[in-house]
Amino acid sequence: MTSTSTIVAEPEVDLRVELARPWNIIVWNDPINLMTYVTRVFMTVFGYSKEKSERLMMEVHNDGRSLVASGAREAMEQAVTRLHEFGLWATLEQAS
Amino acid sequence: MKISKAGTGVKLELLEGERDILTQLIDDFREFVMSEDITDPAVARLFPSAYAESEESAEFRKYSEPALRETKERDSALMRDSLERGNIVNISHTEFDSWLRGLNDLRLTLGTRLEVTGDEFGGEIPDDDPRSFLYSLYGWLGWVQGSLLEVEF
Repeated sequence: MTSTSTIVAEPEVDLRVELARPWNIIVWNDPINLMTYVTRVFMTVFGYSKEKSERLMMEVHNDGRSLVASGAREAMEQAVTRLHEFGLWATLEQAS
Repeated sequence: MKISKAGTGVKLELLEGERDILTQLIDDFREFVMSEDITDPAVARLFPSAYAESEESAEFRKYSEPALRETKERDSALMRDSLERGNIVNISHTEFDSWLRGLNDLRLTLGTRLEVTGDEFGGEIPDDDPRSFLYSLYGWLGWVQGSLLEVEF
């Protein structure tokens, strides 16, 4: 620690921008969950159509991950808990 | 096991042995899911981290984990009670998700313990492998869950 007091300028963070950045739910591929099951879970948890759910499931399967939903943090955390209840491997990250 | 549509629900007709083994699997699961040993890979898989950052993950876990544990407890108890009533199990529309989740929990537990990679069913598991019985159970659970989904859709 130094005794010389230097005022360091804080990097400017625009809080409004920070709070407006949505949170993304990522579902990761795993070797256990059945493809038909993962599709069914997307339909149940997000109310997506079968077509959309199948497309997202295939993305998880082929690319190893898929961004399945995006929105306010609290709502996304609730959805992740539901996905975990169904045994899907889901994580949250803030959109860049 | 025979799986068929019955009204808005699904009917399972189990053989005595199938009912015994499923009951046993559920009992084992119920005992193990209460252990809070997060270093156990199967526990870690059933209660995954939601964030890359450990601090945020721990914060999230504080309220999500009790809810998750309660769901697993409830789903497995529902399956257990239904099996206790006999070899014919009628799964109502409202119980369907519990069965799907509960069977999935059993598959995740077995699959994690067996370290499945998804390529096991090409016949590389020799019959004298001590794990071959567990693999066949794992495959059977997948068939049951897959059939339930097929009947529903």
